[in-house]
Amino acid sequence: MNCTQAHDRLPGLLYGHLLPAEKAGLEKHLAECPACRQEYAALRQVRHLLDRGPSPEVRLDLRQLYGQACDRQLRQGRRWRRVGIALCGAAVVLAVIALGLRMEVRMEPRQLVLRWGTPSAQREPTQSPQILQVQAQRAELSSGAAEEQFQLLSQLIHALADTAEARDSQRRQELLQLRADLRELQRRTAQWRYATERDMDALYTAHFISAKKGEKP
Amino acid sequence: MGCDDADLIHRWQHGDAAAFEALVRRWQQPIGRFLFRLVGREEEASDLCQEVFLRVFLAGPRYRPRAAFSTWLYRIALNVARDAARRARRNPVALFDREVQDNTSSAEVVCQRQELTNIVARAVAELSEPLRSVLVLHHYEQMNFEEIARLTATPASTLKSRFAAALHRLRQRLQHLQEESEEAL
Repeated sequence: MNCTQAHDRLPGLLYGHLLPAEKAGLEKHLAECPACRQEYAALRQVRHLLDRGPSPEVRLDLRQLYGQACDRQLRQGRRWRRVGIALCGAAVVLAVIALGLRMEVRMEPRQLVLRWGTPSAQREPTQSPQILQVQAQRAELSSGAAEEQFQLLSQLIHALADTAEARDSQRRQELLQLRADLRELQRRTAQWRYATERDMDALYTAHFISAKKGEKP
Repeated sequence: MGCDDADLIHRWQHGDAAAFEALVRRWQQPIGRFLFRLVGREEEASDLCQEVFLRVFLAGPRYRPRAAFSTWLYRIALNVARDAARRARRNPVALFDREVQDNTSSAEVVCQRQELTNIVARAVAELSEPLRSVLVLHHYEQMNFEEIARLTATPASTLKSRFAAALHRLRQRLQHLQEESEEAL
Protein backbone atom coordinates (compact mmCIF):
# COMPACT_ATOMS: atom_id res chain seq x y z
CA MET A 1 0.00 0.00 0.00
CA ASN A 2 1.34 3.48 -0.88
CA CYS A 3 0.76 6.75 0.98
CA THR A 4 -2.02 7.96 -1.37
CA GLN A 5 -4.02 4.79 -0.81
CA ALA A 6 -3.35 4.96 2.94
CA HIS A 7 -4.39 8.62 3.02
CA ASP A 8 -7.78 7.77 1.49
CA ARG A 9 -8.39 4.96 3.98
CA LEU A 10 -7.47 6.82 7.19
CA PRO A 11 -11.02 8.14 7.89
CA GLY A 12 -12.29 4.57 7.41
CA LEU A 13 -9.82 3.30 10.00
CA LEU A 14 -10.78 6.06 12.40
CA TYR A 15 -14.52 5.31 12.18
CA GLY A 16 -14.31 1.54 11.74
CA HIS A 17 -15.45 1.38 8.11
CA LEU A 18 -12.64 -0.86 6.86
CA LEU A 19 -12.76 -4.57 6.17
CA PRO A 20 -10.33 -6.67 8.24
CA ALA A 21 -7.91 -7.18 5.35
CA GLU A 22 -7.87 -3.44 4.53
CA LYS A 23 -7.41 -2.56 8.18
CA ALA A 24 -4.47 -4.95 8.56
CA GLY A 25 -2.80 -3.55 5.44
CA LEU A 26 -3.26 0.04 6.58
CA GLU A 27 -1.98 -0.63 10.09
CA LYS A 28 1.09 -2.27 8.62
CA HIS A 29 1.68 0.81 6.46
CA LEU A 30 1.23 3.18 9.43
CA ALA A 31 3.82 1.21 11.38
CA GLU A 32 6.32 2.00 8.63
CA CYS A 33 5.28 5.54 7.55
CA PRO A 34 5.70 8.47 9.99
CA ALA A 35 3.94 10.97 7.65
CA CYS A 36 0.78 8.86 7.48
CA ARG A 37 0.95 8.27 11.23
CA GLN A 38 1.04 12.04 11.74
CA GLU A 39 -1.91 12.50 9.39
CA TYR A 40 -3.86 9.84 11.30
CA ALA A 41 -3.12 11.57 14.59
CA ALA A 42 -4.36 14.88 13.12
CA LEU A 43 -7.61 13.22 12.03
CA ARG A 44 -8.09 11.76 15.50
CA GLN A 45 -7.73 15.27 16.90
CA VAL A 46 -10.35 16.55 14.44
CA ARG A 47 -12.75 13.84 15.63
CA HIS A 48 -12.04 14.78 19.22
CA LEU A 49 -12.72 18.48 18.46
CA LEU A 50 -15.96 17.62 16.73
CA ASP A 51 -17.08 15.70 19.81
CA ARG A 52 -16.39 18.72 22.00
CA GLY A 53 -18.73 20.91 19.99
CA PRO A 54 -21.67 22.45 21.93
CA SER A 55 -24.98 20.62 22.09
CA PRO A 56 -27.74 23.08 22.95
CA GLU A 57 -31.15 22.18 24.32
CA VAL A 58 -34.08 22.88 22.04
CA ARG A 59 -37.58 23.10 23.42
CA LEU A 60 -40.56 23.66 21.16
CA ASP A 61 -43.57 25.75 21.99
CA LEU A 62 -46.52 23.53 21.06
CA ARG A 63 -49.13 26.27 21.49
CA GLN A 64 -47.20 28.45 19.07
CA LEU A 65 -46.87 25.48 16.72
CA TYR A 66 -50.64 24.86 16.67
CA GLY A 67 -51.22 28.58 16.12
CA GLN A 68 -48.80 28.60 13.18
CA ALA A 69 -50.49 25.51 11.73
CA CYS A 70 -53.89 27.26 11.87
CA ASP A 71 -52.46 30.40 10.28
CA ARG A 72 -50.85 28.44 7.49
CA GLN A 73 -54.02 26.51 6.73
CA LEU A 74 -56.03 29.73 6.73
CA ARG A 75 -53.50 31.33 4.36
CA GLN A 76 -53.67 28.31 2.10
CA GLY A 77 -57.48 28.46 2.10
CA ARG A 78 -57.40 32.17 1.27
CA ARG A 79 -54.91 31.52 -1.52
CA TRP A 80 -57.15 28.87 -3.09
CA ARG A 81 -60.15 31.17 -2.69
CA ARG A 82 -58.25 33.93 -4.51
CA VAL A 83 -57.27 31.52 -7.28
CA GLY A 84 -60.91 30.40 -7.61
CA ILE A 85 -62.18 33.98 -7.74
CA ALA A 86 -59.53 34.89 -10.32
CA LEU A 87 -60.50 31.95 -12.51
CA CYS A 88 -64.21 32.79 -12.24
CA GLY A 89 -63.46 36.41 -13.08
CA ALA A 90 -61.42 35.38 -16.10
CA ALA A 91 -64.22 33.10 -17.28
CA VAL A 92 -66.79 35.92 -16.89
CA VAL A 93 -64.57 38.36 -18.81
CA LEU A 94 -64.09 35.85 -21.61
CA ALA A 95 -67.84 35.20 -21.76
CA VAL A 96 -68.58 38.94 -21.93
CA ILE A 97 -66.01 39.42 -24.68
CA ALA A 98 -67.40 36.45 -26.59
CA LEU A 99 -70.96 37.78 -26.34
CA GLY A 100 -69.96 41.38 -27.05
CA LEU A 101 -67.98 40.49 -30.13
CA ARG A 102 -70.55 37.87 -31.18
CA MET A 103 -67.77 35.38 -31.17
CA GLU A 104 -68.30 32.04 -32.78
CA VAL A 105 -66.21 29.11 -31.66
CA ARG A 106 -66.44 25.92 -33.67
CA MET A 107 -64.43 22.70 -33.71
CA GLU A 108 -63.89 21.17 -37.11
CA PRO A 109 -61.67 18.32 -38.22
CA ARG A 110 -58.07 19.50 -37.82
CA GLN A 111 -58.96 23.08 -37.01
CA LEU A 112 -60.52 25.32 -34.42
CA VAL A 113 -62.58 28.09 -35.98
CA LEU A 114 -62.81 31.35 -34.04
CA ARG A 115 -64.87 34.12 -35.63
CA TRP A 116 -66.19 37.39 -34.35
CA GLY A 117 -68.00 40.44 -35.62
CA THR A 118 -70.79 40.72 -38.26
CA PRO A 119 -70.12 39.53 -41.77
CA SER A 120 -69.31 42.42 -44.10
CA ALA A 121 -70.78 42.91 -47.64
CA GLN A 122 -67.38 42.71 -49.33
CA ARG A 123 -66.52 39.47 -47.63
CA GLU A 124 -65.92 36.58 -49.92
CA PRO A 125 -68.62 33.96 -49.86
CA THR A 126 -67.80 31.30 -47.39
CA GLN A 127 -66.69 28.08 -48.83
CA SER A 128 -68.08 24.81 -47.73
CA PRO A 129 -66.09 22.94 -45.12
CA GLN A 130 -65.33 20.22 -47.62
CA ILE A 131 -63.72 22.66 -50.06
CA LEU A 132 -61.78 24.26 -47.21
CA GLN A 133 -60.68 20.85 -46.11
CA VAL A 134 -59.59 19.97 -49.63
CA GLN A 135 -57.72 23.26 -49.89
CA ALA A 136 -56.04 22.65 -46.57
CA GLN A 137 -55.13 19.18 -47.62
CA ARG A 138 -53.87 20.57 -50.93
CA ALA A 139 -51.68 23.03 -49.05
CA GLU A 140 -50.35 20.22 -46.93
CA LEU A 141 -49.51 18.29 -50.04
CA SER A 142 -47.12 20.94 -51.33
CA SER A 143 -44.03 18.95 -50.57
CA GLY A 144 -42.41 16.91 -53.38
CA ALA A 145 -43.48 13.42 -52.40
CA ALA A 146 -46.99 14.54 -51.56
CA GLU A 147 -47.25 16.41 -54.87
CA GLU A 148 -46.28 13.26 -56.70
CA GLN A 149 -49.00 11.34 -54.92
CA PHE A 150 -51.47 14.01 -55.80
CA GLN A 151 -50.45 13.78 -59.47
CA LEU A 152 -50.95 10.02 -59.43
CA LEU A 153 -54.37 10.43 -57.87
CA SER A 154 -55.26 13.03 -60.48
CA GLN A 155 -54.22 10.71 -63.31
CA LEU A 156 -56.20 7.89 -61.79
CA ILE A 157 -59.32 10.02 -61.59
CA HIS A 158 -58.89 11.12 -65.24
CA ALA A 159 -58.45 7.51 -66.34
CA LEU A 160 -61.61 6.50 -64.53
CA ALA A 161 -63.48 9.38 -66.15
CA ASP A 162 -62.24 8.34 -69.61
CA THR A 163 -63.36 4.77 -69.02
CA ALA A 164 -66.81 5.93 -67.98
CA GLU A 165 -67.09 8.11 -71.07
CA ALA A 166 -66.06 5.26 -73.39
CA ARG A 167 -68.67 2.98 -71.90
CA ASP A 168 -71.26 5.69 -72.23
CA SER A 169 -70.41 6.15 -75.92
CA GLN A 170 -70.63 2.44 -76.53
CA ARG A 171 -74.08 2.30 -74.97
CA ARG A 172 -75.25 5.15 -77.21
CA GLN A 173 -74.00 3.32 -80.29
CA GLU A 174 -75.87 0.21 -79.29
CA LEU A 175 -79.04 2.21 -78.74
CA LEU A 176 -78.76 3.82 -82.21
CA GLN A 177 -78.31 0.41 -83.80
CA LEU A 178 -81.35 -0.95 -82.02
CA ARG A 179 -83.40 1.98 -83.19
CA ALA A 180 -82.28 1.42 -86.79
CA ASP A 181 -83.18 -2.28 -86.56
CA LEU A 182 -86.57 -1.43 -85.18
CA ARG A 183 -87.29 0.98 -88.04
CA GLU A 184 -86.25 -1.68 -90.56
CA LEU A 185 -88.54 -4.16 -88.91
CA GLN A 186 -91.45 -1.70 -89.00
CA ARG A 187 -90.84 -1.04 -92.71
CA ARG A 188 -90.81 -4.70 -93.58
CA THR A 189 -93.90 -5.30 -91.52
CA ALA A 190 -95.68 -2.50 -93.39
CA GLN A 191 -94.59 -3.95 -96.76
CA TRP A 192 -95.77 -7.42 -95.84
CA ARG A 193 -99.11 -6.07 -94.68
CA TYR A 194 -99.55 -4.11 -97.92
CA ALA A 195 -98.72 -7.19 -99.99
CA THR A 196 -101.11 -9.31 -97.98
CA GLU A 197 -103.96 -6.82 -98.38
CA ARG A 198 -103.40 -6.68 -102.14
CA ASP A 199 -103.43 -10.41 -102.42
CA MET A 200 -106.64 -10.58 -100.37
CA ASP A 201 -108.28 -7.98 -102.60
CA ALA A 202 -107.30 -9.87 -105.71
CA LEU A 203 -108.64 -13.13 -104.32
CA TYR A 204 -111.88 -11.50 -103.23
CA THR A 205 -112.36 -9.92 -106.63
CA ALA A 206 -111.57 -13.14 -108.41
CA HIS A 207 -113.85 -15.28 -106.28
CA PHE A 208 -116.94 -13.25 -105.59
CA ILE A 209 -117.19 -10.68 -108.39
CA SER A 210 -116.55 -13.24 -111.18
CA ALA A 211 -119.22 -15.65 -109.72
CA LYS A 212 -121.91 -12.97 -109.96
CA LYS A 213 -121.26 -12.47 -113.62
CA GLY A 214 -121.70 -16.18 -114.23
CA GLU A 215 -118.18 -16.62 -115.12
CA LYS A 216 -116.18 -19.47 -113.74
CA PRO A 217 -113.30 -18.30 -111.54
CA MET B 1 -38.30 2.90 19.26
CA GLY B 2 -39.44 2.39 15.68
CA CYS B 3 -42.50 0.43 16.78
CA ASP B 4 -43.41 3.07 19.36
CA ASP B 5 -43.13 5.76 16.71
CA ALA B 6 -45.48 3.80 14.43
CA ASP B 7 -47.95 3.37 17.28
CA LEU B 8 -47.85 7.08 18.16
CA ILE B 9 -48.34 8.06 14.53
CA HIS B 10 -51.25 5.67 14.16
CA ARG B 11 -52.94 7.12 17.27
CA TRP B 12 -52.21 10.67 16.15
CA GLN B 13 -53.69 10.05 12.69
CA HIS B 14 -56.83 8.80 14.43
CA GLY B 15 -57.25 11.99 16.44
CA ASP B 16 -55.06 11.56 19.53
CA ALA B 17 -53.33 14.95 19.99
CA ALA B 18 -51.33 13.64 22.95
CA ALA B 19 -49.63 11.14 20.62
CA PHE B 20 -48.31 14.01 18.46
CA GLU B 21 -47.03 15.81 21.56
CA ALA B 22 -45.24 12.63 22.65
CA LEU B 23 -43.56 12.44 19.22
CA VAL B 24 -42.45 16.06 19.55
CA ARG B 25 -41.00 15.49 23.01
CA ARG B 26 -39.13 12.43 21.77
CA TRP B 27 -37.62 14.02 18.67
CA GLN B 28 -37.21 17.73 19.38
CA GLN B 29 -33.72 17.33 20.93
CA PRO B 30 -32.16 15.13 18.22
CA ILE B 31 -33.62 17.27 15.43
CA GLY B 32 -32.73 20.50 17.21
CA ARG B 33 -29.11 19.39 17.68
CA PHE B 34 -28.94 18.18 14.10
CA LEU B 35 -30.15 21.54 12.79
CA PHE B 36 -27.80 23.41 15.12
CA ARG B 37 -24.82 21.52 13.72
CA LEU B 38 -25.96 22.27 10.19
CA VAL B 39 -26.65 25.98 10.58
CA GLY B 40 -24.36 26.91 13.49
CA ARG B 41 -26.76 29.27 15.31
CA GLU B 42 -28.85 28.20 18.29
CA GLU B 43 -31.70 30.66 17.70
CA GLU B 44 -31.96 29.80 14.04
CA ALA B 45 -31.84 26.08 14.87
CA SER B 46 -34.74 26.54 17.28
CA ASP B 47 -36.80 28.36 14.61
CA LEU B 48 -36.00 25.71 12.04
CA CYS B 49 -36.90 22.94 14.49
CA GLN B 50 -40.28 24.62 14.97
CA GLU B 51 -40.69 24.72 11.18
CA VAL B 52 -39.81 21.02 10.90
CA PHE B 53 -42.51 19.96 13.35
CA LEU B 54 -44.99 22.37 11.80
CA ARG B 55 -44.47 20.62 8.46
CA VAL B 56 -44.78 17.25 10.21
CA PHE B 57 -48.07 18.36 11.80
CA LEU B 58 -49.51 19.60 8.49
CA ALA B 59 -48.36 16.55 6.52
CA GLY B 60 -49.31 14.04 9.21
CA PRO B 61 -52.65 12.95 7.73
CA ARG B 62 -50.88 12.09 4.44
CA TYR B 63 -47.94 10.24 6.06
CA ARG B 64 -47.67 6.57 5.09
CA PRO B 65 -45.16 4.32 6.91
CA ARG B 66 -43.16 3.31 3.82
CA ALA B 67 -39.92 4.02 5.71
CA ALA B 68 -39.01 4.68 9.36
CA PHE B 69 -40.50 7.82 10.87
CA SER B 70 -36.99 9.04 11.75
CA THR B 71 -35.97 8.88 8.06
CA TRP B 72 -38.96 11.00 7.10
CA LEU B 73 -38.25 13.43 9.94
CA TYR B 74 -34.57 13.89 9.07
CA ARG B 75 -35.48 14.37 5.42
CA ILE B 76 -37.82 17.19 6.35
CA ALA B 77 -35.11 18.70 8.59
CA LEU B 78 -32.55 18.56 5.76
CA ASN B 79 -34.99 20.24 3.39
CA VAL B 80 -35.84 22.93 5.94
CA ALA B 81 -32.13 23.64 6.51
CA ARG B 82 -31.49 23.84 2.75
CA ASP B 83 -34.47 26.16 2.24
CA ALA B 84 -33.23 28.41 5.04
CA ALA B 85 -29.72 28.52 3.57
CA ARG B 86 -31.12 29.43 0.15
CA ARG B 87 -33.30 32.17 1.62
CA ALA B 88 -30.56 33.67 3.78
CA ARG B 89 -27.74 33.25 1.18
CA ARG B 90 -25.70 32.08 4.09
CA ASN B 91 -22.29 33.50 4.86
CA PRO B 92 -20.02 30.46 4.81
CA VAL B 93 -17.90 31.84 7.67
CA ALA B 94 -20.75 32.19 10.18
CA LEU B 95 -19.74 31.39 13.73
CA PHE B 96 -21.45 29.69 16.62
CA ASP B 97 -22.97 32.32 18.83
CA ARG B 98 -23.22 30.25 21.95
CA GLU B 99 -20.71 30.65 24.70
CA VAL B 100 -19.43 27.66 26.55
CA GLN B 101 -20.54 27.93 30.18
CA ASP B 102 -17.83 26.62 32.42
CA ASN B 103 -17.50 27.80 36.00
CA THR B 104 -14.76 25.40 37.04
CA SER B 105 -11.95 26.42 34.71
CA SER B 106 -10.01 29.63 34.61
CA ALA B 107 -11.02 32.47 32.29
CA GLU B 108 -8.05 31.77 30.05
CA VAL B 109 -9.05 28.13 29.61
CA VAL B 110 -12.65 29.15 28.98
CA CYS B 111 -11.51 31.61 26.33
CA GLN B 112 -9.31 29.02 24.70
CA ARG B 113 -12.19 26.55 24.61
CA GLN B 114 -14.50 29.19 23.20
CA GLU B 115 -11.94 30.06 20.58
CA LEU B 116 -11.48 26.41 19.67
CA THR B 117 -15.25 25.85 19.52
CA ASN B 118 -15.57 28.82 17.20
CA ILE B 119 -12.76 27.57 15.02
CA VAL B 120 -14.35 24.12 14.71
CA ALA B 121 -17.76 25.62 14.01
CA ARG B 122 -16.31 27.94 11.39
CA ALA B 123 -14.51 25.07 9.68
CA VAL B 124 -17.68 22.92 9.66
CA ALA B 125 -19.77 25.83 8.35
CA GLU B 126 -17.30 26.39 5.52
CA LEU B 127 -17.83 22.87 4.19
CA SER B 128 -20.12 22.55 1.22
CA GLU B 129 -23.67 21.38 1.99
CA PRO B 130 -23.23 17.76 0.75
CA LEU B 131 -20.06 17.27 2.82
CA ARG B 132 -21.49 19.01 5.88
CA SER B 133 -24.70 16.95 5.81
CA VAL B 134 -22.94 13.57 5.63
CA LEU B 135 -20.45 14.64 8.33
CA VAL B 136 -23.20 15.71 10.73
CA LEU B 137 -25.41 12.68 10.02
CA HIS B 138 -22.60 10.15 10.38
CA HIS B 139 -20.53 11.69 13.17
CA TYR B 140 -23.21 13.29 15.34
CA GLU B 141 -26.37 11.36 14.50
CA GLN B 142 -24.51 8.03 14.34
CA MET B 143 -26.28 7.02 11.12
CA ASN B 144 -24.53 4.45 8.94
CA PHE B 145 -24.01 5.15 5.27
CA GLU B 146 -26.89 2.91 4.17
CA GLU B 147 -29.32 4.92 6.30
CA ILE B 148 -27.91 8.20 5.01
CA ALA B 149 -28.17 6.82 1.45
CA ARG B 150 -31.91 6.17 1.93
CA LEU B 151 -32.35 9.61 3.45
CA THR B 152 -30.52 11.58 0.77
CA ALA B 153 -31.09 9.29 -2.25
CA THR B 154 -27.30 9.15 -2.77
CA PRO B 155 -25.25 5.93 -3.15
CA ALA B 156 -23.47 4.76 0.01
CA SER B 157 -20.09 4.62 -1.76
CA THR B 158 -20.46 8.30 -2.73
CA LEU B 159 -21.31 9.18 0.86
CA LYS B 160 -18.21 7.36 2.14
CA SER B 161 -16.04 9.37 -0.24
CA ARG B 162 -17.75 12.59 0.80
CA PHE B 163 -17.25 11.80 4.48
CA ALA B 164 -13.54 11.12 3.97
CA ALA B 165 -13.21 14.33 1.95
CA ALA B 166 -15.05 16.30 4.67
CA LEU B 167 -12.70 15.00 7.36
CA HIS B 168 -9.59 15.81 5.35
CA ARG B 169 -10.84 19.30 4.52
CA LEU B 170 -11.68 19.92 8.15
CA ARG B 171 -8.24 18.85 9.18
CA GLN B 172 -6.58 21.22 6.68
CA ARG B 173 -8.91 24.07 7.51
CA LEU B 174 -8.56 23.67 11.26
CA GLN B 175 -4.79 23.70 10.94
CA HIS B 176 -4.97 26.89 8.88
CA LEU B 177 -7.44 28.59 11.26
CA GLN B 178 -5.40 27.62 14.30
CA GLU B 179 -2.30 29.10 12.69
CA GLU B 180 -4.26 32.31 11.96
CA SER B 181 -5.49 32.41 15.53
CA GLU B 182 -1.99 31.99 16.94
CA GLU B 183 -0.65 34.73 14.64
CA ALA B 184 -3.44 37.07 15.81
CA LEU B 185 -2.38 36.47 19.41
